[in-house]
Amino acid sequence: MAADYEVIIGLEIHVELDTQTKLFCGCSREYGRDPNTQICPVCLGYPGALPVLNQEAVRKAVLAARALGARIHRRSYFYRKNYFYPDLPKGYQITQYTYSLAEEGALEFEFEGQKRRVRIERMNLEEEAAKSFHTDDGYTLLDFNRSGIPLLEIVTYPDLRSPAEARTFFTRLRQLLRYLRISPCDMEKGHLRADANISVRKPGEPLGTKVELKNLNSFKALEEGLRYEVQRQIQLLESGGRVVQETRLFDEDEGVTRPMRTKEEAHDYRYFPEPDLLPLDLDPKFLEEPLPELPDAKRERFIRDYGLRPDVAEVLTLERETAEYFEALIQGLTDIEQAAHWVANRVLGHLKGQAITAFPIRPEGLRELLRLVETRKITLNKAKDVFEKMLDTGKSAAEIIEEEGATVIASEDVLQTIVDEVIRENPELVEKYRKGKTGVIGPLIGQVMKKTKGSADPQVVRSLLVARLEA
Amino acid sequence: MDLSKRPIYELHQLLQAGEITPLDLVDAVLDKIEAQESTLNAYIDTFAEEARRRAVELEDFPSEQRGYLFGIPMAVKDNIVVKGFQTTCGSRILLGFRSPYNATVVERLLKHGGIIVGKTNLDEFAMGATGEFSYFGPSRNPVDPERVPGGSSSGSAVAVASGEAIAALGSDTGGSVRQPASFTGIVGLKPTYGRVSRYGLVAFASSLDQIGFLTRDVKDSAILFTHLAGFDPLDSTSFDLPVPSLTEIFQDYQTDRPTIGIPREYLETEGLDSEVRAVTESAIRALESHGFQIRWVSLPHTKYAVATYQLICTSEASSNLARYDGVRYGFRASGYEDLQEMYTLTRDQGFGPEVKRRILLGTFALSAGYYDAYYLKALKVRRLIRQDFDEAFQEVDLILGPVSPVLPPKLGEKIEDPLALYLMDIYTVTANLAGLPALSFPAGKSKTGLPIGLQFMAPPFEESRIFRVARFFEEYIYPAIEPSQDLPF
Repeated sequence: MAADYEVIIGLEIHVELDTQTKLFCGCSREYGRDPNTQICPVCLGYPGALPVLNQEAVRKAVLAARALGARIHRRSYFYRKNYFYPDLPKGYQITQYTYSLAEEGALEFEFEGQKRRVRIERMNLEEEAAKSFHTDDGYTLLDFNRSGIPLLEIVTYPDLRSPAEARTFFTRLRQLLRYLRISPCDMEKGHLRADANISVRKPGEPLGTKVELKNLNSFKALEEGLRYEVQRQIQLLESGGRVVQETRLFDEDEGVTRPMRTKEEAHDYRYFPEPDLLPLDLDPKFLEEPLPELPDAKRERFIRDYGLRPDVAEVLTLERETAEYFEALIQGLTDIEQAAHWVANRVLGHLKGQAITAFPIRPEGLRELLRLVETRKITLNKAKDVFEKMLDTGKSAAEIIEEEGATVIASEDVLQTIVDEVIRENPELVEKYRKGKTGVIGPLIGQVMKKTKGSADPQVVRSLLVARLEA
Repeated sequence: MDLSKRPIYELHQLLQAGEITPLDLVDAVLDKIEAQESTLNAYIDTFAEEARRRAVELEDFPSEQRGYLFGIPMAVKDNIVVKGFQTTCGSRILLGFRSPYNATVVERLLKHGGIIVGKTNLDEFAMGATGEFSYFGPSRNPVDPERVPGGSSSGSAVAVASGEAIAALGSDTGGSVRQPASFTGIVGLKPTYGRVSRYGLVAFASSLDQIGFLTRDVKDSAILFTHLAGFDPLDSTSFDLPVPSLTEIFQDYQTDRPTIGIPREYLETEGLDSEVRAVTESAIRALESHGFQIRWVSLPHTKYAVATYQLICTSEASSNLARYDGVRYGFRASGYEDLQEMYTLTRDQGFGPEVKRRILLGTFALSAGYYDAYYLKALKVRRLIRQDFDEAFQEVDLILGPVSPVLPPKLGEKIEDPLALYLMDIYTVTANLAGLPALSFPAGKSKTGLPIGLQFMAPPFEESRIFRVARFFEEYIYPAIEPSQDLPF
């Protein structure tokens, strides 16, 4: 039944831009301060106060527009969106409407093995509202620290065809925005939020009635909310009902969507040009600023230039900081694959999702360790051991090896002497080997390792033994 | 010697010579306030103690920084915020609101050593032409207390005309400085849009609002202009252009003979009072006799000006006044059950009839389905009106015309007829729509002794042209027309 339906989804995404100050005043936009401590007459909407545009927010929005290949308007305009709500101190939000900052961009990504392209309809700069807290005893508390924080609104065309695809798109968009360093995109802190328009239809039929879905504020919520809504709409249609155009709210705890307001209750926002601001004439230098290498390009380059497996390249380029760590690490190393493996598994494994910038071992420190492996000063096993100790103690690889004494692998000459010694001491095993029981090489290697206190490279020991035994 | 009726530059000389102190001036003004306020009602709040204290503190003001504004007691229209004091905008809805910051003009005024003696009465949120739409009751015209002083900067005009302040700040959205100046026989300047920072001026119609000055004469107007105008980074619509000095402004004003245009449409207006017409015509003749070139010009879209103005100002007002919702400051009604009711009761009880009328009109004009027919069309006509002026200023340096088509009406005479009140703005709204500087100055009197003002308009940022000719008129023409300027107050 569900398979008979085509799902049509468009997203409206809001990103808090990471600027020093708010969009229209000099207040800090830092997160997590005491309520109502980062406020002024402008962001409180006090009588007589006027907005002054923060150019840093414009610069960051333009970076995003360029990264999404959007057509950027050299001149755009601010509008007032009028409605009453306690978290909106002026009774209107300053936003962009017709004449957006940018239009007609796109994000390309891979989904279920297919190349997908989701078009961006428009991108607007606007101000954030204050934050409301509804108490159990019926009061609403307002924190105006959030009022006036710059938001970039990104509106897609209805190009998404499933909740899972929407989730992948949202993930890829977040990755891109983080690459641009225009927002931390921390969804728990509300830096990145999504609303969706969703409808279903049988293929070939005209578009179905769309429902606006709000409060999709995590990847999981986005996918689950959309899934629920798809099912709800299909069941409604199958049982002979019809979808009503309305705004619904996703309840993450219950996993259901609930009506918020119908079309009839929809606001007339009475948009009109903001007379307190001049038209936004872009500073041309915002258009010339070099863009960083974006995720797709970086991943392809890692595959091409470093010979990495696509899945490893993908892991290393998920975050720009990880890729930068990796590229700093491999300066002067020869075994790039090994280094990639270390970052992808040991480093990221240890971080468990934390930012690599907080990782205590800097690339130079890890490079020193991997150099020791490459030059066969220590074994890979030993290196793993030293890595853990570096994390525990904060000491460098050299310091740890120094402290532990004779852990450095003997040179091949020394190893050769030990190999010869072991061969002399074990005539029976040598005899057995030479008669074809090559499996006895194991115990012979073991004896060499024992004499070197485990610091020899077993591969080297094996080849030295074989050379002697088969001589 | 009555200090309260003398212009700034004379008082400045007396202060510099040490013959008087700032406290003498404050006391002179406060005496007037005490004696007259029960009749005139120019002020919503007066700051007698603070003004006296400041006058004393000014003794320590560095002597090299003592310019024209030093020690001068001034009044501020109560829609311009002064830190720590109440700003009501003449409305119940802002009762109790104390501003946490100074408007940029107030900041500059204080920096130059000025003294603020109080906040003046106005039509609620500056919406009105008679001063009768104030929550605090009407101000009265010192020339004839049975008559209105004009509006909306009613209190500022009354204060200056009656010696309750030496000069005053006002705001002019559609004539609110010039018209009360004309009705009370003083000088009112609306500078070019963007010349004086609007930061701290409570918005009525943001694209039209401009802070202006009410003064005893033209030179005082230029003094306030040169001290308070100029770029402000806090107002994105303010212009970064140098403000000329007094010397530059008045250079050669006695010999300068610019060409003056008279808009044909202004004298063809239906409802133009015959005495106002007569004063306009005699001013034209007098200017001509002093060697000024007079030329007829045409401003063909004048007939749409009031309608255009009403659509734009009400639309912007409907949005600007949305913030008065009882949530954060000012008046909040009691007895509400939910948020919606709190909004409704607060705004219903907090706003007066004219404000409600304009919010409703503006909300309608911006509504989906009506926007193109009303607001957008008004913006287009506004552009045509501006083009009219651009073309006229190809021919002439200045434009001269009446300020108000009528003489100051009696209290209660027009308040029930919104349309008649709106038509009183016919000559003044065009300067706001086109963003031009305009100055109203006394040009004559009616047979009954009521003041009649005329206004000069100039291209944007050409206030100097206006000051020069207006000062010439004031010094060489007006005394011949009206030898006596005695007022009952």
